[in-house]
Amino acid sequence: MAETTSDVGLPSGGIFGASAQRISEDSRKISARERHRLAAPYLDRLAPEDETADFAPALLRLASSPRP
Amino acid sequence: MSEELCGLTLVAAAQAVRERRTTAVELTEACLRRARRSQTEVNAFITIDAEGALAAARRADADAARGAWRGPLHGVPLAHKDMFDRAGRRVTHGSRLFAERRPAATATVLRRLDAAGAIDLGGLNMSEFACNPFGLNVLVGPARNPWAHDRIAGGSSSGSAAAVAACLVYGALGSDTGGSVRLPAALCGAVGLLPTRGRVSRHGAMKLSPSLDAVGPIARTARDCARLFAAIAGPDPADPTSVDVAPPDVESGLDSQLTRTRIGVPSDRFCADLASNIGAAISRGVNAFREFGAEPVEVPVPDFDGLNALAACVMLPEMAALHRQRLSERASEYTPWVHDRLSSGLDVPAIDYIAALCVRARVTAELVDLWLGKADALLLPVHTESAPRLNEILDEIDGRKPPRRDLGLYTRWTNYLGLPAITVPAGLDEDRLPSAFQIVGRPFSEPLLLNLAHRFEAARDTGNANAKDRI
Repeated sequence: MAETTSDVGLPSGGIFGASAQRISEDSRKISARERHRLAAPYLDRLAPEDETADFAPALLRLASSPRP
Repeated sequence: MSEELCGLTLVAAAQAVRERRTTAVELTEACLRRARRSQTEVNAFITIDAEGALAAARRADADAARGAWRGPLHGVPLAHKDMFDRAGRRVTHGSRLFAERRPAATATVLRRLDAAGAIDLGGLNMSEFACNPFGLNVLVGPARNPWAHDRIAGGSSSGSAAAVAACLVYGALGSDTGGSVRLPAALCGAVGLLPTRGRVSRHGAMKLSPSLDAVGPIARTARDCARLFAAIAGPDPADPTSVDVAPPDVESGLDSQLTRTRIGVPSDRFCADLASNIGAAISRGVNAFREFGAEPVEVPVPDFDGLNALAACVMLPEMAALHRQRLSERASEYTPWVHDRLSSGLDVPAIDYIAALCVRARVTAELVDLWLGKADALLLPVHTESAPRLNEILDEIDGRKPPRRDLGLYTRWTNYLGLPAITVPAGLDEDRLPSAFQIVGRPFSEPLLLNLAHRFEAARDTGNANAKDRI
């Protein structure tokens, strides 16, 4: 069984399976560099056809797509 | 009139007015009395507008006397996070900068609640500019958790959750840019709904990050929450991001059967790493939904850190852009660490911001297909720990650095994806503090989320749990 989204082929980079408690205790604040590193797998997927204006129509399409 | 009235649910209070067993003025006076008395301990309000509320209540009773019922909230006292414009009334955004700000017009959501007959008691406490999950506010001090007054109520809609849990009002609006409705609702034991992006107008609401901001209701039961949601949802020409989808009739579907509903749940391995009370709340949810005939389906947990980082690429620059001029010209009026947090977006590269917005639709579609292709909704943690003690949070502030802990770990990503989510109270933990889980759905699935929340609270007797006796 896939444990995280990364295990099934989607981009990742985060800390998977890490406990909330541990993260809380780590008291970390993501620096700009760390933030970029974590987001990069998604940001790097930017394709020529992607546009910011697509979001609301995309939500409407997802709402009407067939249920499982 | 007894303050027992304050312990009614919102729907019961509306019914009592409708059946003339009480009046809007009686309800309003009872809530005002309780609100004033609780200020020392809970500090839920920034502004109590007794005069305005009582005038509105008298008008509501006059209308009722001639049979002119305004709507499903006729005569019901509410109050809202102090960031929704009300013409002529002080609306502070929780900041010293706007301590005397009086807008000229009223926010769409407040106009819709007015039209439904609600009474507005005033502006509720909130984090300074809604940008911390701890409820910290230097203008009036932080709201306290009604269940334990030495603990935070969460944030940024701190006063909204506290006022509802303490039975000062029957419901409240908050805003959620990264968890600001869901987190305080979880810490205070209330139901909090983050609607789908575009479902509820944000016209006249304070902007923090316009690409992520949402307005949502907080109440003591799922049915109460459904009634508030139905009153505020729907397209608004004044908000260009609102979506042209008619508001659903959510209340009639609350008792729908859940057989054939599939609930996505994280693996046992993931849950084993959670704080014990958080894991127990998840288990209570899974077990309850299985009893209803729903089928739990194991799904991959979201990449919280990656998606939260993506959300930050959008949120931080937008916050900085909105505050840019004030950050330099009126710096001393911000709390230093809030000033630095709002400024941090100046360092995010424009290319990251643009890319994060451009890939949003595709990432959302892929993840919805991944998760909700298998399930109708996801059951996940909402908070990382029970309400922390206020002094611990204050101790963590180090000069210009905010408190260290990441209360919003499980909430921020949903705002980026634009998905609806609901906080469902799951009872008290071993410390007698509220615990909760959240359910995340596909776009515009609020009726299902409210249906699930309602069925859970009916089965586990968690509906209208409140801290009324602790005030």
